[in-house]
Amino acid sequence: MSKRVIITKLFVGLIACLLGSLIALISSFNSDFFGQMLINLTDNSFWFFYFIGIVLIITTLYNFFHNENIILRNNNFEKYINNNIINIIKINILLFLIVLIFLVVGSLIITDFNIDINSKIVYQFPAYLYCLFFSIRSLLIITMLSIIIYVLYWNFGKKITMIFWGACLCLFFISFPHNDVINKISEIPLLFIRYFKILPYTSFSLEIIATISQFVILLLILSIFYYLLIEKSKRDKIL
Amino acid sequence: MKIEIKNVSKKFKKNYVLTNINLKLSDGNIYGLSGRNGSGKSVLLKIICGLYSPTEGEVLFDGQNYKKSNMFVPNLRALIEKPTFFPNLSGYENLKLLAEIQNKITDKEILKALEIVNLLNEKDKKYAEYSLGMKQKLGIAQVIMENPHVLILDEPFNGIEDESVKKITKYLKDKQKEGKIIIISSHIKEDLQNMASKIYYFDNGKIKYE
Repeated sequence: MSKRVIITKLFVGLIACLLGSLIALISSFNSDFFGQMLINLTDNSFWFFYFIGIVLIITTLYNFFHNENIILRNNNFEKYINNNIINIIKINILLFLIVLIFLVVGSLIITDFNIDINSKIVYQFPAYLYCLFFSIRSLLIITMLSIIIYVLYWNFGKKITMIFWGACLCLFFISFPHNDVINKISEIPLLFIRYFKILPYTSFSLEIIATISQFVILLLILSIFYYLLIEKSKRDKIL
Repeated sequence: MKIEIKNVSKKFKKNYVLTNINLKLSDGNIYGLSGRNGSGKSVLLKIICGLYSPTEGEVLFDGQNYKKSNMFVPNLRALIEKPTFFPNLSGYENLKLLAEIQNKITDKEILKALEIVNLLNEKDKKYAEYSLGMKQKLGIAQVIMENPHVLILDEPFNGIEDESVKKITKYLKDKQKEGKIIIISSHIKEDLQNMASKIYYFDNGKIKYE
């Protein structure tokens, strides 16, 4: 893959991430900066595009470093994979910060600070707390998914990885919540959405339980694929 | 260092591509692996490097099986099949990038390796613009630049002109005298006859004769 292709793909990945923020920004309008941020960070289109972008970046970097000259210069294959996983976590954090800055600047630009105080939508403190919880959770889930995708790519190649990615995106897509009332507890992105959607849940504790089960399942999937990769490298081949 | 290849077999799906290979390789020798395309030479080299695991048997370096703990043999460098480099970086930048992983050598040593393979004048040219022979030379340069103890070269002279082949051969012979282990595969027997201390002829995944 040429450097130009790599840079283009990385750029497209970044643009996809920023596009999500842009859609979130223009699809909502608020008179309060924090309210605007709250809506945007709980907007599933924001996370949907962020996920598309990060996977593009991860797979591009994977192609770049899937190289026997580089691998053989590492002392241990397991350590090499672990280092790459740490790098994926760093990339996720870095990219999220870039997108967050974009969102802050965008929110400052579109927020109408001159609006009458009485017509302002006032959000309660738990809503902000929920926004924080939602953002951290989504970032963690996407980070875990991007690691799964990286390990999956090593194990099964491009085709299976694309199918897995597509399935994740579909799950994301069907979970698009209506963002009209932000003070409600939003739907949970990615896994289990439909399952919980049919339940009349309003409690935060139920969402915590769902989040924990999401993490457990993703961790289980990640452990299986990681174990497969390490075992395959020991028993069959690395490249 | 002593490399012991003990009863090594390798199976892909249901086919054995290597059957019961036994070799003992020691310091100060150049070993040649010859045979038709697909006779199992490259697979054996990948097994020695640790990129493939043998289905049966083991490869021991001074009695240690590195593959068991998923480690790579330190001080081993390899050129396997066609070399993989980054097309839009220059030859020099590619080597620099690889050298930075272990950070053991200076720019001077990178340039020296390029000089040995007669690529110094084209060091700033992009890899994508290299001819087949130049790509091969860069592959050899990445093997020799860190002065490893074990050098593995799979069909190293493909597309390289005679003058450079002579220069590289001389360099490899000098390294042999220094006590390095060099393993070279080639489907052209004459390539190996000039320099190898021992040649193993492969046929259908087996050593037919030495």
